[in-house]
Amino acid sequence: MSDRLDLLQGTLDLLILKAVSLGPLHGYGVLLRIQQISSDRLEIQQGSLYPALYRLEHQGVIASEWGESENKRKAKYYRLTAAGRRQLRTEAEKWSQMAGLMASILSTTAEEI
Amino acid sequence: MLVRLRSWWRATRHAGLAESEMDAELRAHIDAHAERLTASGVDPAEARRRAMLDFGPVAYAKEACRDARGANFLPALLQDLAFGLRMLRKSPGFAALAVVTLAIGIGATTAVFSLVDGVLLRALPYRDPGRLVYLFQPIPHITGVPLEGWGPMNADFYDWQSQNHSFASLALFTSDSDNLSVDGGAVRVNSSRVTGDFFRTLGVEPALGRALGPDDDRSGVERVVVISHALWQSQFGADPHVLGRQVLLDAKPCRIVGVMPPSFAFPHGAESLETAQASQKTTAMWVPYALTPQQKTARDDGSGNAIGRLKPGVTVARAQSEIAAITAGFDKLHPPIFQGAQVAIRSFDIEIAGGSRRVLMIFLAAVFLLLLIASSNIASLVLARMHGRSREFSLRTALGASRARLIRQLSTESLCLAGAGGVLGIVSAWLTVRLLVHIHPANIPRLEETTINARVLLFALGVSLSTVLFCGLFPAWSASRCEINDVLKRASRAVRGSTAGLHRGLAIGQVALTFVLLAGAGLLIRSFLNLQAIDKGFHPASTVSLDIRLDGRYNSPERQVAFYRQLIDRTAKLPGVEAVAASTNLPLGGGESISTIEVEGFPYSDSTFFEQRNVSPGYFAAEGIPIVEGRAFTDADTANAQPVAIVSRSFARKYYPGQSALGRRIHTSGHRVIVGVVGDVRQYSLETTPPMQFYLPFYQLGEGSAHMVARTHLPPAQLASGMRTLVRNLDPAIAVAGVRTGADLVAAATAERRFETFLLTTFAGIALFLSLVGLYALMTYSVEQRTAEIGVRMALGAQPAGVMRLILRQGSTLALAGIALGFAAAWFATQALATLLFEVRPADVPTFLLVALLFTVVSLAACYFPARRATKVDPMISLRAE
Repeated sequence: MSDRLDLLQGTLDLLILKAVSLGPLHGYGVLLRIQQISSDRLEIQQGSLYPALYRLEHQGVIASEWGESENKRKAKYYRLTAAGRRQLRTEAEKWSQMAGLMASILSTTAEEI
Repeated sequence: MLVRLRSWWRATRHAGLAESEMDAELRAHIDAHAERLTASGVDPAEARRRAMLDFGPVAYAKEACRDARGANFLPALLQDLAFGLRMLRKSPGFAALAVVTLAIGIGATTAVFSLVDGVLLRALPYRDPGRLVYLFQPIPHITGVPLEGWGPMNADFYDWQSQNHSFASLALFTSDSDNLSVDGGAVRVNSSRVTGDFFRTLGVEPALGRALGPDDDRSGVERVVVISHALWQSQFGADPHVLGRQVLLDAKPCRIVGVMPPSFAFPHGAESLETAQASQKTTAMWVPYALTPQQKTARDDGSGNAIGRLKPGVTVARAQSEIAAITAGFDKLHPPIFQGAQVAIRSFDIEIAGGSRRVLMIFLAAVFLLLLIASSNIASLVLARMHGRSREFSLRTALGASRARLIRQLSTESLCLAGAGGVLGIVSAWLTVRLLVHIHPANIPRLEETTINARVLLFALGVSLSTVLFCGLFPAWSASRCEINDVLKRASRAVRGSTAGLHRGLAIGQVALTFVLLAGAGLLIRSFLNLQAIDKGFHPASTVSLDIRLDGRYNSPERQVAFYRQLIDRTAKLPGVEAVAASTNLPLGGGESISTIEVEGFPYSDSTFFEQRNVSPGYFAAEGIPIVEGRAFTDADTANAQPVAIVSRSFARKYYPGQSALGRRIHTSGHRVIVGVVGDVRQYSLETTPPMQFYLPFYQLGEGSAHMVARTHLPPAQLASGMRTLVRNLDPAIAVAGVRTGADLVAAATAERRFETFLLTTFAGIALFLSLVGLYALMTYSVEQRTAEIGVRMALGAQPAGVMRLILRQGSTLALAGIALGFAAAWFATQALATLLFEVRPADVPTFLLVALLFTVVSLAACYFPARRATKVDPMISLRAE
């Protein structure tokens, strides 16, 4: 398990947005999708997923409706709203800028200065 | 924002549905996870256990979900409210004390603010009132006449009107009263002679018919009048066909052409010249001035006051310098005594409320001190409670309550208190305003129109909220600061040190503020007592007076004298009448006539003024004015007899020191021989030393308007109705007005001072009560805190008397510190009262010492009960309680 990473502060919201942007998902589906696309390398507290979902819905970036799951159970499906799509785009951009910056700072060697 | 609000609303409104959906969702998650684990080969029971474990604490997640949607806000608030109310119900003494204290503070502040609002802030009921001004023409070398007494001379006014560029319009008005006959009955009404632009200047439209205009203001046209809404209702039964009706005004016919709206009664109260005269409260009738061409060119006569409407953008200063320049141009045309005339222009709001501004500001300052005392009382009550509950707070913190959450809960409790206190406060303010309007003296203009309006309510709300901030948040903040470990380990004593200083500071400040109020009230009470003890110079007890005004038919002194002489002779025959007389002025009756005279043997001075009145023979007996030397007037002092005069004692002392004044001569209305000397009378005001006075015989000179005064033991109403019958028999067109007893006149003359003294004393009394409650609460709390210590002391052999001394010493140290601070503060603060004091200096040491003594005694009493409780401490119980 040493290759699993703890979630950085504030990244869960972005991950959820990304997960539901690929198609409507119920809560457990969001968890599976994140694990799947991160190749199981992220550790997510399952209990903390729902407050995040509710918060995002409260903010209006995702919306929910009840539907039927693949094994014929009632499930609440979340999808991205237009506002959510915009937020995902700007957040992703910020994130990649930040990641690039951090990478270039951290890879700096003594000779380059 | 809208989305969130909607989401919050849904979460709150459909709380039940949202809850069950959330349950279902979380359950589905755990089920799905368990199924997945089972599918990968785990035993179903174990899979379920692992799924639960992986999910973490469900209740915690749910709470976080509710918070995320804002669903928690309202339930938490309701919970806090319910909890707060429960806590308050558990200590009803605290709750009642806090609510009553708040209600007193908020109520008093709101009541006084509504007075200030009603008198100073509320817009005057005229169009664009900011541009309205009074124009006065004072003559500096004639002293003793208030600015309001300086209307312009008629010719000066018309010169201003024709030459100025600053005013859109100018008008003259007078404050008169007339006999109005409607259907055979005569009543006296307050009237105003007005020039043509009067209504245009004020910018007021009539409710019915038309107002007066320049075309009415000419001699020789039909006489028309405009009446007030109140007169329309009282005399004409609000008859819509009143327009065009003929009435007799001073026995001359005139036609009613308009009725003004209810709010209009200008000039009234302090707007008219005779502020002391209660009968001059409102004007009921407006009559065209219609000055004759001769009157319009008079430079030695002016009986009106001038008002003007400034052109847009013209300042008072600019208008003043322009009018002053015009005045300088014709000043040399004045008779010598009126030369050197100045110009003073005052805006309406300053002129109307200016005199009361200072008094109102003092009230506002006093009531603000009261509010501070009330607030600090609450703060110290809340603080004491916080300490009592510090264990509860520690426990809450230990269980995970955040500091913000604690403060929120405590603020909710304070809000409950403030809400209850605010509502009670507004109710008591409403009652107080009703009371104040009922007892107010006539000289605070517009006070009678004061109500609790939206602005006042807003003010009350602001006061309540800021009180909550001050009283609730501050202690809550300090209480929530407590360190959990400290408190849980060392019980409630741990937090004492941090806020006990604050608590003591509050008590000392409170005592100091109260001392300032008490000292101010003490000074006013002393002034009032000084005034009561003053020698008035006459004996108002068991006198009754009334006013009579003869109209133009009585156009010679003979006719006037004949009327009054008959009335006096017949009145004197009424049973129960000891003496009766007519006089041009009554002591404290409002109005004054001053004149210059020549005293034989001394150079004439045009700047020495004498109070003059013409009186009939029985006057000195009726008013109870002592005759010092010589005789009173007699029935023989008629127009055919030798001209005589009577002078006052200070007159005689000034001109004939050490000698008899009898037989000396003065020159006014002919050469007159002094036949008597009488005592000085406080005529215009009880508070000023009377100037020199002289009396002329009424029967020698006559006068159209006179005050009748009778010394009698009859009830005033009975005498008045007897005289009314006599007057009607003499002439049915003459009305009897202004029936007052001597006591009424004195009460009116002291009403303002009584009002101020009453109000400030009430404030000080409430402040004293509040600060004693505060001191009592603090000492009670302190004794509670020190129970263990006292127990130890007693176990070690301390006597009850020693314990009592210990507590009393603690209390009196606080009180004395506060008194010392208050003494110093009052020394400076009472300077603001200087103009309100009568024969006592602002920093009056005896008053201050008396207040300090009183305060020390009552504060010891406030400490006595907690101290006695301390002596009842049972060492065993108190030690076990730890």
